[in-house]
Amino acid sequence: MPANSSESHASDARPTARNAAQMAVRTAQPEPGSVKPDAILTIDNVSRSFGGLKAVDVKRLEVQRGVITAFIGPNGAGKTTFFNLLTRFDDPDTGAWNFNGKPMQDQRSYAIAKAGMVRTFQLTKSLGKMSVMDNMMLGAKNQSGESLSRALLKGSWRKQERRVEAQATDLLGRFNLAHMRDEYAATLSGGQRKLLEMARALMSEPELILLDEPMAGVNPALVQSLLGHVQALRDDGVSVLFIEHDMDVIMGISDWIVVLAEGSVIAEGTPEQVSQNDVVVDAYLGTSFAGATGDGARSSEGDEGNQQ
Amino acid sequence: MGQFGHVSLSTCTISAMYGRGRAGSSAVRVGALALLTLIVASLFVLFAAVPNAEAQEGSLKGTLRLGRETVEGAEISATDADGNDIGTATTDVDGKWEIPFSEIGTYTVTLDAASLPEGVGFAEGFSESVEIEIDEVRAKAVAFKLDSADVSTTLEIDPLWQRLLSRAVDGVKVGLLMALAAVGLSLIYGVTGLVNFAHSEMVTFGAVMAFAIESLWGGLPFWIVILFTAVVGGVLGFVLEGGLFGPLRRRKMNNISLMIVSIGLAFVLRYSILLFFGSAPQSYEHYRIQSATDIGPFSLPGKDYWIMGVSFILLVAVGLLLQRTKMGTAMRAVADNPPLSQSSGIDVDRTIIAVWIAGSALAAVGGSFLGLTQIVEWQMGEKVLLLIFAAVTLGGLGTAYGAMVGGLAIGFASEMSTFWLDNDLKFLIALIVLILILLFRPQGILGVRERFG
Amino acid sequence: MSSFTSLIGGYDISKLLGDSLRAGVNVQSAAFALGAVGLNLHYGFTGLLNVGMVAFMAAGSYGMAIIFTQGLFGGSILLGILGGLVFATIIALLVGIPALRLRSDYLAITTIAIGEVMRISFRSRRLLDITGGPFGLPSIEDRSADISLADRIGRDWNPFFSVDDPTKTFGFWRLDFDAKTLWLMIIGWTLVVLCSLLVWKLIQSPWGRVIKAIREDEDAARALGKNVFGYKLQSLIIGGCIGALAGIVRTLDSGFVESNQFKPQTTFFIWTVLILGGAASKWGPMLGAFVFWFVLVFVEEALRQVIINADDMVWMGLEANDVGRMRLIMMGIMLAALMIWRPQGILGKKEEALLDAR
Repeated sequence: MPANSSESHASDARPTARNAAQMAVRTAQPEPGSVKPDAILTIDNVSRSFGGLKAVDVKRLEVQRGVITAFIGPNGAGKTTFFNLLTRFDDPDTGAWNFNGKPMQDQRSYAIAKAGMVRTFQLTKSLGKMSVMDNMMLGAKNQSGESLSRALLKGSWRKQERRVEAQATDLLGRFNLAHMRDEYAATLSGGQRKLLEMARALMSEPELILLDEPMAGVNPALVQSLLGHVQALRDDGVSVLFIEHDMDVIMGISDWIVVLAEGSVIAEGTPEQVSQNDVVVDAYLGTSFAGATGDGARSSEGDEGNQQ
Repeated sequence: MGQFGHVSLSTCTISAMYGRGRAGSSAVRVGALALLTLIVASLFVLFAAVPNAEAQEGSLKGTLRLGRETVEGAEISATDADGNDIGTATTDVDGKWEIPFSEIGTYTVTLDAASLPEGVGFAEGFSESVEIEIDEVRAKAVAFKLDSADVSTTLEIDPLWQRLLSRAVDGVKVGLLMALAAVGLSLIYGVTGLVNFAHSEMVTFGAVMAFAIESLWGGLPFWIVILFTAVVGGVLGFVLEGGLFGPLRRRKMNNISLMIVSIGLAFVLRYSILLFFGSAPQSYEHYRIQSATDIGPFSLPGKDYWIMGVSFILLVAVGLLLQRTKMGTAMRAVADNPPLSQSSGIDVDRTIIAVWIAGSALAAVGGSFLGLTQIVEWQMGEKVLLLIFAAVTLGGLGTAYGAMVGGLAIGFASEMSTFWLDNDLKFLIALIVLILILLFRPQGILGVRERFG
Repeated sequence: MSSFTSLIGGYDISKLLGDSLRAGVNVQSAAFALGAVGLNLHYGFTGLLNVGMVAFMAAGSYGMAIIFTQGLFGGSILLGILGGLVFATIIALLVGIPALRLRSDYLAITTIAIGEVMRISFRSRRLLDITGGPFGLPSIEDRSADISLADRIGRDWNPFFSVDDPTKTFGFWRLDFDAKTLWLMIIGWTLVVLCSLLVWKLIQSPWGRVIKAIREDEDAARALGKNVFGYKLQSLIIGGCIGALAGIVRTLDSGFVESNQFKPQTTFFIWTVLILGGAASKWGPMLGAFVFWFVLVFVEEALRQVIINADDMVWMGLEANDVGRMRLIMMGIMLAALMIWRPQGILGKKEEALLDAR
């Protein structure tokens, strides 16, 4: 998908035509733990405490396949910890979750990624001393040359390597990074690193992608482009789960919103349902839902900009 | 073989306890455990199968005693296997004698019965000649058992409980010293993230400095020597942080590079000490020999009571400082979360300097005590480095109290192990503890669980 | 040969340069280059903090020597070498399985610990019959078959050795070597080149891409579905086996093993070689070893000559027998100074070193 068309996706607040999955999720009940028509991820009783503090305590959650689901909540609501648990970058105290019907709670983080549930990080993890192209090619799954026994037999992986490179070139073009392909990733700007990380995650052709604040630290001009990419992912059939602590940024593109506060799911629903939910308004006391999108982008830049 | 069974039993228990927690990686852990058990077991089998003949440092030497009294003026001579004389010695006022030798072989050491005081003879079952097999050019203690009509001597060895007790007391002593040395390493890691490989040289530095002042002004009160050691140790810490690691950290050098710098520094310090101090082991002249003082069931040289007492007080003081003072709170805060403590108004750089000074001073004092109980030599820090690392890991890298507990535990365990095992094997014990901790509780016994790879 | 000799005011320049060059190309230098190639895979490419390379060298040396002296497998040298590599692999597993899942500091602590424990255990008198305890194995020979390792390598299998002229030397000036040394230099440096190429080929493959990604950020590699622990273990084993080869080459040269050959300082010599040559570079370890030994012997010899020529043979408080100590102090300074001012070494990429600071 060319970059300019994704810009146009982002510019209209609500897509005019909804696909089947988007229609289906709207039939779900707007309450915590509600059943989804076609869940890609089902979560039961996941908890994690730090010291005496319960950082995450989610009783039941289902994530619909093929749509954009947003996790929102105030700072400290446990969103990133929840992500870390689901991808096993952290160890839960209790809990079980199925991805595509397969239990994931006992898997190691790399195996979860291999199964098709790939994440990005709030603080980008671009591999600084590797070229942008190498970063991208690393993302591809099932590369035979990555096994030690075949690494020295160039013939056995040369063809695949070329395919992976072509795929990477294509994705870099879509993410406006083609001109940087041979640069060290460390030389990219903060926003470009976010793009690179998302593109790199897509190299593995995930079924579910978990984006941890992809908009944080990105300048406002790029935010629209990033949102466009997220929508484009959904249109390609990828399920998207993403974290944002600023509601305004995501009201427009999410199909379903899960609101977390103090580690628990306090509300679920479509953007309209959530914005009218009294519990959510209480949790966000002092935060205006009606604020302009531009404000949200600026504030998230202010929060995270210094980290890049 | 007994040890073998014991080890596998205890590791199985641990894995059983652990198995409930995490299922995901248990297969790898079980595999690792099997491998570890196998290797440890084969080591024990190896070590148990081959007979033991332990040698210590020095030359042919000994202390001639009659009961609790030492015997002066007795003549001792040694001959090699071919009957050639290799030397003679006369026992000094403390009953000590020493005959150097240069080659390995079998020696016969003879005590001239005529030179003994009147009425003193050899104890039953002991003769005037002792045959010694030397297979390493090191020190070998030679004992003669004397008996006399006047002095009633006990020939039977101390009962088991007493020997165990004395090992245990040694264990506590070494444990306290390891704790002193380890606290600084752990705190420095806590506030800066640096594993300082030069920390063991602080231990040597302290011992050598104490030796220097003690030999310059012999007979100084004990507490002045300690104070002096603490001050020069602190100054070294200040210089290293203020002149080397601090500026490098501000240049944004990462901790891995800084660790390699600390390795280079360890070499510079260690071989500089060798250059100035020489390779011969020394001991503090005025505290070398002390007769035992009995307190309750304990019978120790007076210096040992002092060492244990002062070490304990120092550790408690460190704990109180960390808990009660502003600087102590700052240290703990910085160790916990440097950016957060910076933004909450703590002067991080000053705190780090303070940690370096305190940590180095403690290590130096620990070193001087170590020199006091054993010997002072240029390699002494390097020799305990492994124990200190194991202690810090056991307690939890970065935690002060953990390092104390870890130091005590490792020191005690390794000393106690010499009751059943070779002296050298105490390092093996430390390594096994280290590996078990890394496998099952990498955050250490007092560390807080965080996310590990 | 006397035409090369030049004495200037009591200083023997020929000896100074000749000995330094000789040290740079000698078997010892090749052994350190090999160790640095292994360490380059560990630290340079994978980011593993192995500060116990000497443990792998000891595994190689003792493994080969024990198999040979015990007459196992018919006292074959090649099987002895294989045994050394297997021993190194076991050490890698023993260290790697507990420590590689944790932060890099823990690997550093564990590797230095295993190196010391192996050294202390090998010199234990309880292993007298196997490792020779404190005496080591002064001549590695299979008594039952009456062959020694030195004879096998130096005579039987040596194309340069001739029975008619066993003391024949090759080369010129101070760079003439006897048949055994020449043969082992060729073996050693060939191994260095082969292992360097092996590591480089691996690093150029998709496997190497994962390895470098782990060096940069393990979590990123993990998030992309790579089994980071497995890759790190593979790297530790391969680099450890190259380290074992380093020990083996050194033992083939010296003809004996002894626990004091495996003090921690050997590891830090290798670190200095690697940092000097340039971590993460193809030929850095090789060049690093040459330069390291050249500089070390040059400064040592220069210092010795200065002291000999000084009044009363004392120069700035230093006597002749202090020179050996000075060289270790110098090594420490060299390692720290390189890390501070030239972390990329001679051949490393400067821009990569600078990216670290970001």
